Amino acid sequence: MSREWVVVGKGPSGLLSASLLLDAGYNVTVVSHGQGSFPLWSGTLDFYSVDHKLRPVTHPEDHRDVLSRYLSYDQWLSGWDTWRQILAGIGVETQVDVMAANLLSPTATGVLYPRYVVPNWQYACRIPEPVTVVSWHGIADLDLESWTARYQLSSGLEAQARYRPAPGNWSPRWTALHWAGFFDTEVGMDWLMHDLEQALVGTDAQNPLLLPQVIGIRHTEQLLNRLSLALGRKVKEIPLVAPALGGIRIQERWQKFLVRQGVRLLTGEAIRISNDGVWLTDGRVLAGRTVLATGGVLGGGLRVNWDHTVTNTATGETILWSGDPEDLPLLSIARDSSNYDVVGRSSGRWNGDLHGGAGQVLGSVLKWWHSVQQEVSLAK
Amino acid sequence: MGAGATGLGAAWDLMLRGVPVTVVDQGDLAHGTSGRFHGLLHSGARYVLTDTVAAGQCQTENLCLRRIAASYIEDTGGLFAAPPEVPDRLIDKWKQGCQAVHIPVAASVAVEGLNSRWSRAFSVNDGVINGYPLLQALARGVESGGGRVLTHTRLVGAAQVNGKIRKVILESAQGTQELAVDAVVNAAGPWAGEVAALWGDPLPLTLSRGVMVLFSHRHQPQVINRLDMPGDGDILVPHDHISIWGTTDRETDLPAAPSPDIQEVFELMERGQEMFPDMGQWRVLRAFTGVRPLYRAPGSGSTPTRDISRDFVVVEHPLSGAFSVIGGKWTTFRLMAQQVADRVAGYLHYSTACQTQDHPLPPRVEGVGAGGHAEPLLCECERVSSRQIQHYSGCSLTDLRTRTWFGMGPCQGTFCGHRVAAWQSHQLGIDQSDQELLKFRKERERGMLSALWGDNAVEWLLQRNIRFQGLGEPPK
Repeated sequence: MSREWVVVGKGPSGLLSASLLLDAGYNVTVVSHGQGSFPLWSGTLDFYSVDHKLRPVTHPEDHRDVLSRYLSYDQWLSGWDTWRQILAGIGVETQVDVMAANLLSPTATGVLYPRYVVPNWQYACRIPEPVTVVSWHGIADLDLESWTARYQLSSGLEAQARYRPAPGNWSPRWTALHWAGFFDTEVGMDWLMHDLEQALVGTDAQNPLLLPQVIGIRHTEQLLNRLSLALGRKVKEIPLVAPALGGIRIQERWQKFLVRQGVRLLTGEAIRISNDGVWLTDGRVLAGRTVLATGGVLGGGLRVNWDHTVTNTATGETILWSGDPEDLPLLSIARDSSNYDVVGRSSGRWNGDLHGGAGQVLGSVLKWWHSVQQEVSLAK
Repeated sequence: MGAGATGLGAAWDLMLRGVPVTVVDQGDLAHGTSGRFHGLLHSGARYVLTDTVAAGQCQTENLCLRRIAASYIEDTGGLFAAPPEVPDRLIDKWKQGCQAVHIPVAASVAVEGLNSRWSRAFSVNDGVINGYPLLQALARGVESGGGRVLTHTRLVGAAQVNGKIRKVILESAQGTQELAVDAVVNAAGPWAGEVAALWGDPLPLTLSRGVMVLFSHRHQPQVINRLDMPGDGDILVPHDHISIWGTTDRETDLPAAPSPDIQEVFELMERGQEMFPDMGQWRVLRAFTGVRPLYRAPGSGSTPTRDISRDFVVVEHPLSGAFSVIGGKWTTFRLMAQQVADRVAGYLHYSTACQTQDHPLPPRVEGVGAGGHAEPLLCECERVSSRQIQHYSGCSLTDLRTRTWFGMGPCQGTFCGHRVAAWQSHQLGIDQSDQELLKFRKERERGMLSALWGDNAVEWLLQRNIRFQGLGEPPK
């Protein structure tokens, strides 16, 4: 069996596949045309967050019947463990409930939403508690007045809010990236520390302190630790909408890690896949077995045409779509006869928007990985 | 009755003659057909082969609107290009038709992007109307002259004394009120039949729906028309930075605009690619439907809606003081208003003549600015700041959208819907603003789903991802 693998796509499914291949000793090339979906994603790993009636799910385990359509429950559990270890390996520590239940983590609008595995920088709890929230003028996604009202509706508990002026160098052009870049500097950190000391006067020190997810890109954990020590309370973030710092942090660390381990990370647009490998628009051919992690319609791996045909952008193959919008996330480009494998959103069959996007990533990657391992053991 | 172009136009006309007026609409300004058109200021050239009267009216009113409403008109010019199958004699007939109603026609060079075989092209004085600002100006004009504009108010009854209309009964969120009146102008567009039924004189109204597809770029600097007998999918209108492609023409039953029929969208796209071969790759935003109220002249039987005249009529009902105005075009709204106002003024014994041909519309107000360097932008696509949203606090999200244009850009509210709803919740409370947000999401989604291909399909999935996974919004 070939020792060369080509992963097309550098979203969560692409990088997870690359990590598994790397650990098993294969030579891996990751090639991607786009940025990958990390900057659209806060970094929480959602397993099975709402059921088919759209009610929040506390214990994914209660839905074994649904989940076992993809993998056995034990495979799921060991899979989550593997993914957590991979994340720890790239420097992202995560929280998970010991009972394998969903944690609760408030969204940017103050809804307590079930999340399965949550990076350490993000606030999550098992049982809701009173919180203190600070935000600054100009962070449009986090409106404290409505956030506290909705948090109260969602949890039945009070949230103390402090809305603060923006730093002097702020301008309306600032996105979350500008804020985070500012806090990564010494000046920014000093400003933050000073501002929070003032903001927290009169607030309850028992409450965890929640800040918008803009506390640095590279130094997040150090910043949060320093704040926590200085302010004498737990300090965590609330994820915002894109550009999502959580995903950006994970992608940066993961890519660096893979490159240091010898993975080739290339930019290029795949147009054809043959038994020789992946053909790129610029004329290069990347030799190896191929796994497509091109992200389905949302990630650009599938292009919906005006006449309701759907094109696999990496191969030019066309498939048909019913025209029902609900079927779009379920479209799969995997074929038994294909000379490539498929993971992630492009493998379809799971509505990640409702049932947890990371569940789809993990389920499809593990399923593929088990089949690769089976092939290997058969060959032996 | 009706705060569309005709209703507000009639009110403006009457106000200038000194008649005290009140405008009533069940929705916001431009709630009906006036807010759902392609924005074309007709030269009239589209109608010269089929409808000389409408063509002539369009040309006259085109020139008039350029005088009185210059800041609401974009002088893009228009092009008529004939597909190869159109015989030269039809083109000659079209040119003669234009000449007969004084539409200036000049030969034109080929246009980039247009099918190169459509080389017989002629320019005319088409333009683009900025409908929403123009209607807002009319409403301001009516109010500054002492008139009233009551939006989100329904007409539920009319009372008469001795065969003369004496009062109308209105319903709004604030309750029911009676309004003493001497005359009523029914300019309710597709709802005109329902309004006239309140005084027991139904109108011979035929409704026709037309689908339009919006693209997120200005693909041509001018209006481009297919030079042929009028048909489906033959006009591309550049509207600010986007383009509108339309339309279809199908008889329909209900006055409220339905979701676009996917088959009609397909047909439009097929026709479109005859004209612009790469239209299938254009970045689509959404599709929407407008409903035309057409006057079916007695004896015209079962003529297809496409062939019913775009002319208009003023109806004087047996109930004294009740008038209806039906049919017509956006381009001819001033003329329609004038003719109905003439009848009303005569009935009320006002002797002042119509002023609107020469009276400029109130100037354009540039609204509340984005607030320079101090205010965060809530809607990045259309550059709408929190200050602008605050200025209209108390409005529904839909009314906020048409006033500030937030949520109209390529993301269709994905990144700004929850931000604007949060500001709105400061006044309305969480429960009501959540309902408003869901309504807003559904309205945007309806348009996106009608043109679900290319980057718009990606955008729709991203919107779902952010709503459900990111923000935990309820799907229903």
